[in-house]
Amino acid sequence: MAFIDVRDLRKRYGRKSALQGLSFSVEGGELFCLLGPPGAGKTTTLRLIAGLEQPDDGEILIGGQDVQDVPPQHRDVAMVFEDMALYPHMTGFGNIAHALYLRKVRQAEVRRRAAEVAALLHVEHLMDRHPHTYSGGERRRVAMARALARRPKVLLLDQALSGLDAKIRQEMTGELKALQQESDQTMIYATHDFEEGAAMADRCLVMRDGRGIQVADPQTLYTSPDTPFVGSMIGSPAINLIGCRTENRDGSTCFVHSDFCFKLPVELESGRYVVVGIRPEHLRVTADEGMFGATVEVVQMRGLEQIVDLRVGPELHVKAVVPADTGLQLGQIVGLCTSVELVHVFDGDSEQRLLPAEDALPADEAS
Amino acid sequence: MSEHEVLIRLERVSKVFDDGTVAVKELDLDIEEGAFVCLLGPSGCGKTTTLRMIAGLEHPTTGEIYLRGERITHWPPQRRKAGMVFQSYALFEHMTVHDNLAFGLKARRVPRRQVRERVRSMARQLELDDVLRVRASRVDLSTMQRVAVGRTLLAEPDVLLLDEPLNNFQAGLREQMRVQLKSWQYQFGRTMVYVTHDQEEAMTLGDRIVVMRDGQVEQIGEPAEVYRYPTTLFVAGFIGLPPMNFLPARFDASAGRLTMAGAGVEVDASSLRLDRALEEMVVGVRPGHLSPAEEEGADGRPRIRGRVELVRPTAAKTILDVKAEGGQTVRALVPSPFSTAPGDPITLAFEPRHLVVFDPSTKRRIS
Repeated sequence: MAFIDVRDLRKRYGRKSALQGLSFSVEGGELFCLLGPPGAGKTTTLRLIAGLEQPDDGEILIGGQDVQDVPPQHRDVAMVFEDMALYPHMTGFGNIAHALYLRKVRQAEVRRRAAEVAALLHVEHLMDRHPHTYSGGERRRVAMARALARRPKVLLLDQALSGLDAKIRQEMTGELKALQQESDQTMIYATHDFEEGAAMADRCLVMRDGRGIQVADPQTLYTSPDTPFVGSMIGSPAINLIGCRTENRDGSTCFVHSDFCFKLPVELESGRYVVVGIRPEHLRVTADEGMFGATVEVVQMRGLEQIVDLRVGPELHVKAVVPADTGLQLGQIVGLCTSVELVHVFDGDSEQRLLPAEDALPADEAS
Repeated sequence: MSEHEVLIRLERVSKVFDDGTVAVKELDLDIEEGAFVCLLGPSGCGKTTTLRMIAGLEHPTTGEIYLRGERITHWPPQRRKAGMVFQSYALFEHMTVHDNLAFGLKARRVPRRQVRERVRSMARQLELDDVLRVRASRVDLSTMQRVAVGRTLLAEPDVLLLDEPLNNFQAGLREQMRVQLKSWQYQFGRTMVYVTHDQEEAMTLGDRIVVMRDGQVEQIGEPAEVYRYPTTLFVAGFIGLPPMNFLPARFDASAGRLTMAGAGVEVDASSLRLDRALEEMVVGVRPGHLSPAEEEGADGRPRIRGRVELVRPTAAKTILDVKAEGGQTVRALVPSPFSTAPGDPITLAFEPRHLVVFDPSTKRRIS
């Protein structure tokens, strides 16, 4: 049995439906990520688990117990959010200790736990200082240390790393993940940024409009998104999504768009409306015509790689990520190609994935 | 770029504030006509002060500033034809988008018909046609940005100065705006000077990057050059994410070999093109240049052997923290999907030509 079970959760705010039947489960010691754009219902979900609000319908079980009638302070759940305030008049130690004193933890134990979490989050040097002397990253670290010191059954993190510098964020995703591996703390992390969530999470639930769309480990979400939406939530620059009509020609399928068409050695019925997804990093620039031609419009350097914006036709622009040493001129016409096993095809109406087919995936990913 | 005319020249420019803070120290900088120059550095490095001196909002304590060869050091801002776009955009919120765009022209008593035409044409180019009648307070951030840029461009500045204009944007939108900014440079053919602390932003946008630290220039160069051949340890560590690995090394002159004990690897010094051979050196290697390899291989590439400590997938790439046999932790950036788990043995190979070597005492590159 899972440690946290969320079953058919529903919540409305006035006429707006925030959650429309959300279900998922989190194992003990897992770092689980809720991933979705603003308004997907991530924060609402966390607030319901924390008990800060009551659901209109559905159940939440923590450790097998229905928490419907358990008030927040008895749920043993801690929450850290983006704009979390620390007590400005207290030192780092005071901030951490305060919550423990309220819970009648003995002095010696408070010191021991504070030292432990301070070491885990590398904030020992901040224990005697006041929050106004902290940097943005340090403030988040102390807020997390404060929450962890309580040793909650579940730690809820709502965009806890948003707004930080890319570099500090990357450092902290590493630290949080290492911390979770050591401490076996169950965590639910809500974010709109896949890079942030994926870097830490054992599994992610992709959410949209108050519903769960796909749950999987980050690698699987990247290699086999179930819908174009999941594909577009993952990866930067985002996946190229191209609406096409299929035409079957001697065993291959032509994908026809008003600006171009290309052929892949796969079998799909003719006349179907599909969405083709090709990740920018899976497009290669070729010396010959490739699968289709495009004009180089913008080139942006990104270290070992460059991001290229290409114009295929009046209706269609794509992005490609190519090695930094690929010589490209603005206005140059280049051929683009990709490998068939890297192409995603979704049904245009149902949005369900047609390719890669389920049976083409390695067994452990398809399960 | 040498064929381009120098538009703005800063000659030994220093700025000391009244409280004695030295914001900029003897800065020399040439900005060529039509270039996109990024001033990059951590907060407090003097980049914004430099921009403000170009705009005329601050005056240098010593040194001179030239515009097309003419000395403008003490000219007031309005004489300079330098258009500044502020972080906050500073729009007139109670006015419509149209009136915001037209404001400067009207103030300069441009005939009404001309104002109308020029505003329309600018609105078309920046795709603002649909919101011309909307109040500035009601448009979204990216529109505000376009209005701010449009208003500045209508003043026909010689140079467009931008101070961290994308700070308020969310990750996904940020990337879109970057592409847009870059395309405006081509579209309007304007010289742009852009201040940012975000190395990725500078890399993707700039034709040239000026890396600053403590009021001084650390390095000026094209993005690829700064990335590939950082002149100092600071630049090497500041540019690129995840940051470059630094491996302390000892040089054995008789064997001609460089030993990096922490990483448990040695390389032939002749492959490094060292300017000087020191006993102690620091070797830098980009995480993206470490690639998983067979434990032994005939390819002759040096190998770092160790165990995986941390696995962080981030869509297209996976970040691996690897504890090398010598005890040092190195970071590798490998293509996703990459299956491994903490504790797994791993071998990382690299090409000696990708290494950069620094003198640990001067902190400058010597290869």
